[in-house]
Amino acid sequence: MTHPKHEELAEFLYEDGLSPNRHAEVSRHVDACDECRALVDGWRGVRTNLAAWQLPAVARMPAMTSRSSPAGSGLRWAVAAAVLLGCGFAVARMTERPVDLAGLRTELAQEVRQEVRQELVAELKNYAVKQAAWQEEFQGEVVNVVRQQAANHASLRKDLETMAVLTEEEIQRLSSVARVTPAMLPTTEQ
Amino acid sequence: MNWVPRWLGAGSTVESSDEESMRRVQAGDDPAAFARLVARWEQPIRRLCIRMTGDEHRGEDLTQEAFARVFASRHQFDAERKFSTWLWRIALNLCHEEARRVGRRGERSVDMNAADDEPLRQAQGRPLASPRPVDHDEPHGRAVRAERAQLVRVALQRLPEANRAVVVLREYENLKFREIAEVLDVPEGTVKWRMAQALVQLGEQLKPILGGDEAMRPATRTTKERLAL
Repeated sequence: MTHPKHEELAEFLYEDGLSPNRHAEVSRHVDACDECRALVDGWRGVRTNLAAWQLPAVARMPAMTSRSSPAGSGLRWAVAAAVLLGCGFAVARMTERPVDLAGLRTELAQEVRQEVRQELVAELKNYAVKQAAWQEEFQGEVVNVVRQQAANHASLRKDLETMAVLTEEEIQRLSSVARVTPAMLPTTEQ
Repeated sequence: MNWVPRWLGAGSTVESSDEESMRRVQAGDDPAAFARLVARWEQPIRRLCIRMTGDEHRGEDLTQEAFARVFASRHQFDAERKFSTWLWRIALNLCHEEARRVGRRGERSVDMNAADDEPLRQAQGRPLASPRPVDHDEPHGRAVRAERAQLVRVALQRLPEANRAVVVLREYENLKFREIAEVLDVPEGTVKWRMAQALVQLGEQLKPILGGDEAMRPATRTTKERLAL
């Protein structure tokens, strides 16, 4: 016995896609085949359980459907305004194109842009102030380093000059010692 | 539609098609056109997003984002194509993006916390469904129904995203396999294969409560009658 493919059983289950003839064939097979019947029954059980997760629709208030009720009318306008505001806000976030919807949406988009611009300007100013302070601090550090290097250089030069003087003196002393010949030295008695 | 003020055009007796409304949105000559599309499609897209994410709040946010994206990319809509296919695809893409974002952050949804798995784990060892017929109006019936809904939600979230999309569109939104194939831009055979695979996977996930279908049927006796037995 050739079993239908799972895809065909899914089509059979949902009655979606099989030709009437093929549907009848699959139906006969499922009735006769324990394995396929168990599979399809299991899937039916899954579908029954899937139906357990129902989402309540966001309730449209009944009063809104009554045009004679002043409260309903107010609510109707309130909902319409909310929809427009929501759309305007979303559009302002999603696109930089000029909003071509009238009234509140345009106004809201302009307000949002204005606020963003103000925040941006404030941030830029803050950044500029911080950068100036940092630059000043950096320059001070550079000056300190240069000064320190100059002091080190002067100290090194002084040390070198001292060393040169001492070396000169020592050379002169050694030269005078070298000029004394052995004959000039006192002889010692044997 | 009569809850929308007349100046929005919703009071018009002439119902335009989605494609016609979208054409007007593109042209910008009818401020009410977009409101009509939102009113018509808000609930289906909301349901799709909630079921794809398993999180009501995220679903609501994604619904708003979907319509914002529709408006922002209105000029990219091909008037020769079906609006609903385009809209479903936008919403599904947002759900996929959200899932990837959540995956990267290692988050779980607000509603999908660890405690959510607990009923499924507990259910592995006992029959969840009540052995007696459930009266859905009584507290016990409501509790059973809520528990089943929770199990279904968790089981759906455990499906691969591609399979979940097929299940949600076919089972809950009643789209034909052919329409789902258009939305997902895959061959129809792939959609049916994913559907069959998902049913097998869900069968495994929901095994603890399968066979308890009796409990899903409306009660045949009233509470008073059962007490009298």
